[in-house]
Amino acid sequence: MIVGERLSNFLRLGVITGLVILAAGLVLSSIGANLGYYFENVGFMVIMGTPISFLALLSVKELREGDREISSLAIATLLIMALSVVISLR
Amino acid sequence: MSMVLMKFIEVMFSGVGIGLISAIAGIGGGTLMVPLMVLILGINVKVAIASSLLTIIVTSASSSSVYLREGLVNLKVALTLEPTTALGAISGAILTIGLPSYIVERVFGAGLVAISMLMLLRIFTKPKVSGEVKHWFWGVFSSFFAGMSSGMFGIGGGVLKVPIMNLVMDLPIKEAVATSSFMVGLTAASGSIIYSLKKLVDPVLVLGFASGILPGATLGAKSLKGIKSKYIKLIFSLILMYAGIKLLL
Repeated sequence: MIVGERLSNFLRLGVITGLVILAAGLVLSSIGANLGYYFENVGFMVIMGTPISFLALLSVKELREGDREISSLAIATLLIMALSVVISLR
Repeated sequence: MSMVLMKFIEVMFSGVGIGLISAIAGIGGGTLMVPLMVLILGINVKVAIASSLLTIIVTSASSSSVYLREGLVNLKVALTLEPTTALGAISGAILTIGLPSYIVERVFGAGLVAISMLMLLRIFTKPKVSGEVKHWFWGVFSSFFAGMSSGMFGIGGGVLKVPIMNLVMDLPIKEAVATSSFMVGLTAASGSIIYSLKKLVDPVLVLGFASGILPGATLGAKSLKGIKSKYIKLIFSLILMYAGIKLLL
């Protein structure tokens, strides 16, 4: 199955954005700005969130195109990931 | 020159080397990154594992975006195996965080020895080139352990996922590699959430490795096509085995 150009580029652009934010955070931290720490955390979140957001977008796209199987499998993966994280936080 | 910049440069150059070897040997960088960080850079094993997982998300996203565009990723197989893989990754991460660092080092050492033996086995096993996907249950079941190895050791887990999909489920090797590459990012994301919640990720390591591995892998894929990957894989497996034994002792 071919995933569209825009959706496949989302993965690459997402992690690059995360790396840029992370780099900005490191620069800010090295010059002593407190903001650097927050930038670093946002960078981590963007990197980790990219494949997860990709799954959510894929699920919506496949649902629109009528492929319920792929869409529901993507939702199941997202649910299990979310549930496991919630359980591990306890 | 500041310490952070020096560390970044050191890690980035190591990343270029890892990217080169990964591209030639056709393996993920995680199996090299963690031993390098622990044995050579002297970084705590849990920080090394956590940072490796985040770097893997970056490298997987980069390669799988190409595979997805070319239609090589079997989304049905990936998304059927991913729930148990993610569950395994999260369990593995929780297990590693709960264990003392010296035990994690030894468990990781044992894991490396097992992975290197699996790699040696793969060198001499002929991959299946075509077939109808079957044995779904065994695929889903064994994916849990592939995910667990990823979460526990900070590796992508492709070393287990590819044989599961190719040898157990009969997915053609090209599709298995592409599907595994896509899954690796999702699995690493699941595991890294747990590590980042515990503040174990080092931003310099992630940025340094990611900036090194991506150009290193491109360079390796483009310029070293003449090298026989079978011998590289053999040497690489033996190095991994040595690193595993060193961590075990």
